[in-house]
Amino acid sequence: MYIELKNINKNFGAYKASNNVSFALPAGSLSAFLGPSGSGKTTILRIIAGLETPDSGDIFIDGQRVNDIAPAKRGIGFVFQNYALFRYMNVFENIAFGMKIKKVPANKIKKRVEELTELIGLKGLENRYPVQLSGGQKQRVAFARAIAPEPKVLLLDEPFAAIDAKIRKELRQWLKTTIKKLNITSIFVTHDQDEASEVADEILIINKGRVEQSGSPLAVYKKPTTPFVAQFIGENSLINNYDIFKGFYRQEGFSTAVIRPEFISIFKENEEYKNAYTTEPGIVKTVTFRGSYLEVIVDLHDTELKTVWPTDREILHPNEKVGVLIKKMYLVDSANIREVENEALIADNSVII
Amino acid sequence: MGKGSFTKYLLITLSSIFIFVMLIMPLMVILSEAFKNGISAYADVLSDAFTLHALRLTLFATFVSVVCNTIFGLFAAWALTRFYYKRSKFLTTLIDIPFAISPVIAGLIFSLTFGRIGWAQPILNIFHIKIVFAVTGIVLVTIFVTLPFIARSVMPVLHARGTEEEEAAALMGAGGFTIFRKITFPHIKWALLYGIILCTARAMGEFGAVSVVSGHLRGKTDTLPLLVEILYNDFKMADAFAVSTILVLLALILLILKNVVEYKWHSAKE
Amino acid sequence: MKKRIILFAVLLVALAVMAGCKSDSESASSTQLVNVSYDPTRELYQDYNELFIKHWKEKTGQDVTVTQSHGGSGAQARSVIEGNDADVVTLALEYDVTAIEKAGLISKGWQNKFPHDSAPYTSTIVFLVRKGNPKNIKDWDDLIKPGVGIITPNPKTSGGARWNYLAAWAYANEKYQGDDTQMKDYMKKLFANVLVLDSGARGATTTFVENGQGDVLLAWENEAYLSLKEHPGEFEIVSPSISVLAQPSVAVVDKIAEERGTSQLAEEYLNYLYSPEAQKVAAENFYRPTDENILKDYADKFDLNMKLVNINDPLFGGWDKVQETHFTDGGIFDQIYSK
Repeated sequence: MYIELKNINKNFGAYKASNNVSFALPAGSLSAFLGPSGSGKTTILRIIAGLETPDSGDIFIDGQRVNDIAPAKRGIGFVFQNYALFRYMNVFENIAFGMKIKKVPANKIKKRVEELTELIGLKGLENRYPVQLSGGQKQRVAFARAIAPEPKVLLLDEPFAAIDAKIRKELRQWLKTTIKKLNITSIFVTHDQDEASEVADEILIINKGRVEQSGSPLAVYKKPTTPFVAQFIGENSLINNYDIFKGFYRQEGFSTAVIRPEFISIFKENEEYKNAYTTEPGIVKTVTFRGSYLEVIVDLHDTELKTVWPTDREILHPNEKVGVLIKKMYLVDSANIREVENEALIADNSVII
Repeated sequence: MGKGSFTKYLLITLSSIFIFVMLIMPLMVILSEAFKNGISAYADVLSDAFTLHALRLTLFATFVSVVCNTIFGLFAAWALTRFYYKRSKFLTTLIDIPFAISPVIAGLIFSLTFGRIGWAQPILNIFHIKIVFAVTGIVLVTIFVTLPFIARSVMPVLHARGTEEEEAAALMGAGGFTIFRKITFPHIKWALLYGIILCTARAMGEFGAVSVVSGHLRGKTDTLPLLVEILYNDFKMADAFAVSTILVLLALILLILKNVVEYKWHSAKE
Repeated sequence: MKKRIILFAVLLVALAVMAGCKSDSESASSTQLVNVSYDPTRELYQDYNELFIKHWKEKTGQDVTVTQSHGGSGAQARSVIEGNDADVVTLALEYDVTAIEKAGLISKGWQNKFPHDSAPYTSTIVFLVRKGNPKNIKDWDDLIKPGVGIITPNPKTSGGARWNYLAAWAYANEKYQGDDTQMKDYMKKLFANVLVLDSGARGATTTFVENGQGDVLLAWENEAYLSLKEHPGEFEIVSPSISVLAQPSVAVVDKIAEERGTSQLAEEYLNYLYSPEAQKVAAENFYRPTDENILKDYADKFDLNMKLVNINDPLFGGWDKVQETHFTDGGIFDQIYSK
C-alpha cells in the first residue's frame, strides 16, 4: 500500500474532526474522499499533507512513517480549493516555483514547464498573470504547479468547487485522464457524488470524522454497509412506515427504509406488466425534467416516493394513475443496515416459475 | 437643479476657505516671516552649527525609528494575522496605545522609568548606560510614538489576503524568508510604504515627548522642533521661522511621496 | 523564525547601548561642562562661555567645552532631578534650585557658597510701553487709571508673572503703609485693567509686541531690552519707582560634578561669573551685574533709583510664604481677581 493512515484522531478544541480514521490506498490509485460539508474529509487530506498534525495515529507514505517529516519533505503536491496561485507571479513562475525552491537548474525547469503547459493545454499563456485567467485555466495551472516538482502523492481539495458546471464536466474527465497518464497516487476531496463516481477508482465515504465505507463507486452504491452511506448516495426516499407497502413487514430494530429510485418501477395504466399481484395502485404527483431523465414523485398509500422515468417513453402526467412496484429496500437504524426484498414479489415470481 | 448647484458651490467655497485659513495662510506666514531679515540672515541661521546638528539629530532619530518600527511592524502584523492567539485582539489593541497616549505623557513615562529616579536606574548605572537626557532617550521615545503606524498599515492587507498562497509555498519547500520575499511582500509593498511615510512624518515632527526627555542640551539633544521652540522663546522670531522652513520642506517632500504611493497603490489594486 | 526574533532583539539592544554609550562617553570626559539654565539666558551664556573657555585655558592649559541647556526654569530643575546631568545650574528662582537640593543633588547651604546669595546678576520688573508713551505711564499708580490696558501673564501659571504681581504688591505696601484692605483694593483695580492674562511670559510678550494689544507690558527688564532690540524704535522702557529684586540663582550640582570629576571646574565656572569681565557681559546682555562698580558704569541702562525689594524681605517672607499667602487656591490673588 502506498498511502496508509492508522488510527488517526484530530480534535479542534472540543470538536472531533477525525475519529479513529484508518485506510490504505495502493500506488497509482485515484481515490476520492466523499462526504457532506464539515465531515472532516479536508482535515484528513491536510493531515496527509502535513498542514495539520494529528493528535494520535500514524501516516505512512511509500512505507515510510512521515508524521515527523515536514510537509515540504513528504513529496506532496497539493491543489487548493481556491487554487492559491501566486498572484504576483505569472503562469511560468507559478509552475516553476516548486522546482526553483529545489534548486533545479534553469534549463531543466524551462523544459519541464514547457512540457506541463502543453499538457494542461495552456501553451502560449506562460506570461499571463492569474488575474488574467479564467477559473478553469487557473485550476489547470494549479494542477501543473502541484505536479511540476514530481511529487509522490497528489492531493486535491475540492478542485472543482469553484468552477462552472459545464467546464466542470470537461475538467473532470481531463483530470482523470491526465492523472492516470502520469500514474501519481492521488486523492481528491469532494462533496459531489457524481464527481466521485465518475473520476475515482475508489471512494471513501467520510461522515463526522469517520470513514463510513470504502470501495469502488459501484460497490458503495449497490452495497451500502452503513445507514449513512445508504441514504447519502443517490436520490433516495426515506420512509419510516415502510410496512404499509405490500410485501414488506416491520422488522424490529429498523426504524427507517431507504428506497433508491431504481428500486421502484412504475407502470402506466394501459401497460402490461408481469407482477400484477404485487404492483399497487398509485398516483403521479409531480414530474420534473432533470436534463437527461425525468424525476417522478408518486403517491402510494399517502407516502411520496421518488423514482425516475426515461425521456424517450410516453410522458407521465401529474394525477395520472399508475402501478407502483417496490422491488427492494434498505432497512436502516442508527448503526445497522439490511437489504430486504419485496416478499410478495418473491412469492409472485416463484408462482410463475 | 439650481439648489443642488448652490449646495455644491457653497460646500466648495467653505472647504476652500477652511483650507486656506488652516493650511495655506500659515504656510505663507512661515515663509514671509522666515525671510523677514533678508536672505543672508536666513542662510546664517540655516548654516549655524546648532541648526545643522538639530537637523542631523532629527534625521537620525527618524531613520532609526522607521527602521525599528518597520521590523517590529512586519513581525507584529505577521504574527497577529497568521497565528491565531486567544489574545490576538488584545495584543492588537496594545499596539495602539501610543496613539491613545498624549506624547508628553509618553515622555514622562520614559523619564520616570529610565531617569535618575526611575525603576531602571540601578541596572543602567551598572552598565553606565544613559538613556534619558541623551540621544538614546530621544530615539526610544520617537520609536514609541510612531510604533503603531507600520503595523496598522500592513495588518489589514495581510488579514484580508488569507494564508493559502503562503501554505502552498510552504508545502513546496519554501523557507520563511523566501515566502515573505516572494509572496507576502509584493502584496503588502504599498501598504508598507504608506505606513513608512506616515511613520517618518510623525517622527520628524515629534515635539512633546522628545521635549520631556531631551534635556535641551544645545548641540547634543536638540531636534529641529525643539530648536524652533528655543529660538521662539528667545524672541528670535525670524530665526525660529527660518528653522521651521526646513521642517516644512521635509513635510512637503513626504507629502508628495505619500501621494505618489497612494496613487500607485490604487492603480496596483485594479 | 525564532532565530530571527532573537536576532532582532539583539540588534535593538545593541543599537540602544551604542547610542547610549556614545553620549555617555562624551559626558564622561572631564573637560566637558554642562550648564542647565533657563530660557532668556541663551545669548548671555553664549557670550560668557567664550570668555570662560579662554580664562580656563589660561589658568590651567585645559580645553573645555560648555554645553548649554535652556528651557522653563521649573522644567529644567525637574529634568535635572530626573537625570539630566548638569554640572551647574543657573536658574531663574532660588525656589527651583532648592528643589534640586531637596532631591539630594546639591549640598545644603548652597546659597552662601557664592557672593550675593549665589546670584551673580539680578533683574527686576519694569514697564514696556509704546513709543512716545501715549498714555503717559510713569509709575504703578498710572496703571490703575481708567482706559489703561495692562498685559501680564497669569501668576497662577507663570513664574515670571508672580514677580510682576509681587512688584505691584510692594508698591501698594509702600503707598498704603501696609493697610491690607487698601492694598488688596489696589491690586483688584490693577488686575481689572488687565486686557489679556496669558499663560506664560512669552505669550504675554507676543500679545503686547506682536499683536499690538494693551498700553503697557509688565516684563523682565532684560526681556524688555530684548524687545527693544528686536523692534527698534517701537517701544520704550519705563522704570517704576519700586519693584522686586529677582535673583536668578546659580549652584554647582555637587553630586553630579563629583561623579564626573568636574567639581573644581564647575566651581570656577560660577566663580568667574563675578569677575569684572563676566559682569560686563551680563550687563551687555541686560542683566544687572551685582558688582556695584560695573553696575554704575551702566547707569544709563539700569535705573539705579528704583527701590528693589528682596523676596526674603519681611514683606514677602520668602517663596514658601509668598506661595501660601498669595498664590494657593483661595489666596490673595484669587480674592482680588475674578474672571
